[in-house]
Amino acid sequence: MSDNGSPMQQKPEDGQQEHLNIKVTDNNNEVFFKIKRTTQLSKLMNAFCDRQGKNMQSVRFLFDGQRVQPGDSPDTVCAWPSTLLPSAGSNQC
Amino acid sequence: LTSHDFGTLLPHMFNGDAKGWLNDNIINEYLEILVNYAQRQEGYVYVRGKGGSTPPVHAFKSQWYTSMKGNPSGTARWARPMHLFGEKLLACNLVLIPICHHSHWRLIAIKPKDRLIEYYDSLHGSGREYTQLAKEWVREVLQKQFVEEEWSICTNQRSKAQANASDCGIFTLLNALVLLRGEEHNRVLVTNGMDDARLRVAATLL
Repeated sequence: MSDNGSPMQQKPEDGQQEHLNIKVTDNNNEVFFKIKRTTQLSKLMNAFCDRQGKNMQSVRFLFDGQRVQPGDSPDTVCAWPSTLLPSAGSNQC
Repeated sequence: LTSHDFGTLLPHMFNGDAKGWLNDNIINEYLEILVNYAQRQEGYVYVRGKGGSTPPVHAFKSQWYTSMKGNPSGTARWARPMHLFGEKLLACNLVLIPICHHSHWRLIAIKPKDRLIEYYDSLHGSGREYTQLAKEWVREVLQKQFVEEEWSICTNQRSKAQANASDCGIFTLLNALVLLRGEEHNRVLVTNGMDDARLRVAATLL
């Protein structure tokens, strides 16, 4: 009934200023990407789908429960600088 | 939303599969529209980041279920940007969660002020698995503020029953609609195919 697949997208803390380590997971597989804050997420979505053999139309990417679109970048998605959430665990950006 | 999505709602008009099983895009988008409207009615304005206040109502995406199964604490964190994390949750009237599992749509309603979890299913399942998962989510969100004895799960099924094997998605949406309006669930009129309701949902989406 629902189109299948819903990889969750999570962003571990940023190690350096410009690059973020981003984990994309569907709860079975995990793929890590290192991208800039301004990089469009479409790159990462395409790479993830390629690697998992999935069709882009059949998957949904979410960050903290909100849909993320291919045209988004970490800058547009994340309103929570890591400094504001010291105790939130490793998956905040 | 694409014509493929609308094909799941109005299969005859959009060349979709005749079963008319709603997909997640239709469900999530419609609930978002309803919730945004309800929030505006209450004068709520969402502010990103610090300084934002708790919304009177909120709906999570249907991916909540798969996420919750794999990563409960991560899914609890979905509440944070929505200003529903920790004791803030208790200031909210209604949290809606649509769930699609085993090719069937159902709706969880959490009423934090009443410390109540409800389950709406047009095939009248008990939904124990889903209400327990919702309670687990509440526990993860409230953390130290969670008092087990305060919370109850309503086992009284109030959803109308669907008349065929295709309309569970529509019932899920209509049950959300009457909840948001504070109406009774017998307001939902049952027909085979729910054609009027499907058109109404489509009109709202457009």
